[in-house]
Amino acid sequence: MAKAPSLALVAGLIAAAAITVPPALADGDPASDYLLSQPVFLPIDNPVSPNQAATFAKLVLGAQTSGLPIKVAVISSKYDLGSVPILFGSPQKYANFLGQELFYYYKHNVLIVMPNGYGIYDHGRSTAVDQKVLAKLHPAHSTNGNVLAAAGTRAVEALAKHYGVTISTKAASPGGSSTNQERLEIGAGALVLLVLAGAAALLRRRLRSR
Amino acid sequence: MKRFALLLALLALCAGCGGSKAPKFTPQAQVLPSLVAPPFTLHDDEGHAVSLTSKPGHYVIVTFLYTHCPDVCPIIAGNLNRALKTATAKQAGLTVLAVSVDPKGDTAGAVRKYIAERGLVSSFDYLIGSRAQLAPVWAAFHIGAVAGPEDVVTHQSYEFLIDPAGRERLLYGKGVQAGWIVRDLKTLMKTS
Repeated sequence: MAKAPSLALVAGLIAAAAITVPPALADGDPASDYLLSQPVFLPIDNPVSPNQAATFAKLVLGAQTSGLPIKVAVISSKYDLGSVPILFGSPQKYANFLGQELFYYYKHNVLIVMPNGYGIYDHGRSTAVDQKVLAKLHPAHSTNGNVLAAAGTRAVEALAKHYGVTISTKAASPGGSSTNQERLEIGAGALVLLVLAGAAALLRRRLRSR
Repeated sequence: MKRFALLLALLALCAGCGGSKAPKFTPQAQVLPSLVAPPFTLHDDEGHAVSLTSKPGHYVIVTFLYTHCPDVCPIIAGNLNRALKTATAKQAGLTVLAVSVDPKGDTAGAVRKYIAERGLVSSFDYLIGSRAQLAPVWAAFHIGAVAGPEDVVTHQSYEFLIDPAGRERLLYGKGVQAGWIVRDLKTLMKTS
């Protein structure tokens, strides 16, 4: 009898250990750490309102699940760039830098939104076409977080339109996982947990019946 | 009994899903898709040409540092140097190729001083060059390097473990420890 709870505990611990925690890159710019696990990085000292932040994250997640895999860093000041303040005002240069930082952990688009314009990196692939799409958009010309997030929204929507992607935000949840692969991993983890819990329960019943 | 056996079978299947046959590396190591590492040739502080292909049959770690780095580089260099001194590293013929991310500050003299001050072993090669020589290597390994004020260079702190066939096998971050490398080298040598 006394062994059953510990079996369940072990099952839980095994399942927990199976979950991969992304490593912290911490190369000086906070966005690189955020974007390992989150769809968007938002300004630190010029915050976006909670409602707009949630809507924006939902849009980006929706884009990801609708066929436009993308993560977005919204940069309002040098402060948001950590140890690379020199790249403030150079969204394409920062896109290249951040994209390379994430290169071994994320294989799709990284969009940068700064007050003076946009930058994009796509896992080392040419982004000339995307840059042309973004160049047609008006920059935010503001350090206000909400204005920048709105510019980010326009950029994601323009890219989606260019690629014929209709963004559905129905299934997207800002707090959820960001890619199909991550969903599969979580699903597999849940399956393992269920099987382990089932085995533990059955074993407990068998032990009781003895 | 049948249900229990079925559950055990399912459990075994799930264990198989995790790739029980796949080598078990340290959890901090990112397993890379075993692509051939980008070839490059640079020079050490003595002017000798050093390339990945000049280390056939040996394990190599490629990393990116600069001598004036005030934070993580000295720690990374120390930990890699510690790994090189181990019996496992010697058995694997491990070499570290540290590629400079600071063409301006990493002169031959600065590198010689760095090597002497930190007691870097002879299998730790510190490679330098002009921006035109170094930048393609950074790009090939997807390393961003941005020179800032006060001679600080912000760069990605990755270490690539390359096997004797020249394939990128594992990636570590700035927290790399000698023990992880030793453990992973043992696993690689056992499974290769």
